[in-house]
Amino acid sequence: MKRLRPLEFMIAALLASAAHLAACTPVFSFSVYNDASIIDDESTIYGYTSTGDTSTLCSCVHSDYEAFAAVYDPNGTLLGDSEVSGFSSSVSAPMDGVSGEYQSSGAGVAYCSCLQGYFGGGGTIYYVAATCPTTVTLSSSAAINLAAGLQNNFPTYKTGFGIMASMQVGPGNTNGALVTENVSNGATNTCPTSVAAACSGNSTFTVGPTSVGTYYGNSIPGAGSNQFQDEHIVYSSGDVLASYGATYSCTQTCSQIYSACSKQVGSFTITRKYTHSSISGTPVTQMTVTTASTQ
Amino acid sequence: MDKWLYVAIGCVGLAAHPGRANADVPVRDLDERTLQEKYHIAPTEEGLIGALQHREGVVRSFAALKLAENRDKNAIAPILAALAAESQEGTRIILATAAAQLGADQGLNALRSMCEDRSWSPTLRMVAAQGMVSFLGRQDCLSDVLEVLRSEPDDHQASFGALNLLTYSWLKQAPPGQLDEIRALAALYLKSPDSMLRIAAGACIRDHGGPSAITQLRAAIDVEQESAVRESLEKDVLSVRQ
Repeated sequence: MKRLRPLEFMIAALLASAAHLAACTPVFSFSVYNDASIIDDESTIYGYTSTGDTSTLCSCVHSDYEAFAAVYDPNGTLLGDSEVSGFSSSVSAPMDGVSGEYQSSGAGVAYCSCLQGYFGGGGTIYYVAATCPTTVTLSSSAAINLAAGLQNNFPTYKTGFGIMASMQVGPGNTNGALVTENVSNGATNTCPTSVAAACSGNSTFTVGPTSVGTYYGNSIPGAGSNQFQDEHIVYSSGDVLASYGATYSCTQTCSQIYSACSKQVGSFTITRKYTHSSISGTPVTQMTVTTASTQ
Repeated sequence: MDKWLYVAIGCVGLAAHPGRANADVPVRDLDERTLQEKYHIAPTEEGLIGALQHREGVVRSFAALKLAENRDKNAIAPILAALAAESQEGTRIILATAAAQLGADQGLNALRSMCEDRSWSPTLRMVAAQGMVSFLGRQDCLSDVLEVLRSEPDDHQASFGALNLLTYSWLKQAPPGQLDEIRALAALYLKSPDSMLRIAAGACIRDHGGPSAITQLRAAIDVEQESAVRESLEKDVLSVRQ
């Protein structure tokens, strides 16, 4: 977290009393620092304001300090604020999915017995940038096959696999942004109880290029710029449709929501089909998977 | 990521019992950290070239892909030597792809011959074709992809993989004659008894357009019984490429 140099409010005041003038000249020095940070998944912004009173008081008394902190989105919309007694105030607020520079501002006040009133001021606005994607679309998918002849594959696994989906994130340069997912059961499930009905997933994906890799022996290029990869697979060392006939198949759907900066940026239906088949005479369950936007 | 691990327990023939997967992002078979910690191989040029001779195919594959990603031309000869000695089909595909990525014609020719090899399973041929398309951006295996679609309608995994390779932007521009065949085969698969093949065919028709694309998709929607397929086709019909 970066810290700004303080903005100092220097208020020199000559008070009415000659005695004061002769002996001591009160100098008001009141500083206000503003700071902000955004948590990694860009869902929450924290604003922090601290004040300091280094005035030369002479016979004056300063009291009733109050600090105020507020955070705004890049359009200037107030997201949250906090006003408390004391020298510092902090505020946290959910972000609203707008890309750009979020702002943290604040102020402090105190009562001065000599002025018979309140004095104080604000500080320099602190800016913190957020890259908030607003769109996630399917760019392409690559098959991850269950087959003889591939490493880390059949016969170690007798149920599998699915696809590696490459998801395109926009607008503009979104590399480094974080996208979270939430996966839940969809509307369709024709599978027997030997196949789990549950769909789950709560991963966080970092947008941007990644390295090439092999997945169950299937080689797949890495993600490109403004992309992330989402793997939709099922795997088992056993044949999950072992009790069923040679060509039996069943289907499940899952609902998937992608979010960034606390805002939904994509909605997909994942369809998983389990097909009972065989490899070199050994019964297996092969998976085919598709994912399609619902928006 | 939507990922489930089923842990098979009990005797063969009993249904497997499901359990949750523990991974939360795509997990590669091998990465640099595991290469160093488990296999004690440094991800340097020397380490990776040496790893091409490793006893485990997953290490040989990783080394070849990494050398290609690093654009290490010094690795061409060692990768080709490893390819010549390699017996495991999946690793052969990866070694050939890596050599081709580095500009070796022998790697490209080897990969092309893997797509064509009818002694291989249709799925393995499509794995080779996926390497040709996704790593090299080439269409050399297009006729093999079409052959699998023509001849293996009952091999749902191979056909699904083949249709997938004809979808999205994998295929830059098909020659006119083959474009007509792609459209005709996709229309055929739109009537497949396999719902996933109908979804894949719809996406293929969407991406290859043509004068009949919208009509074909609408006709398929009219008779589609499965809601997931119908929803997918309805999306496709709205975004048919002209």
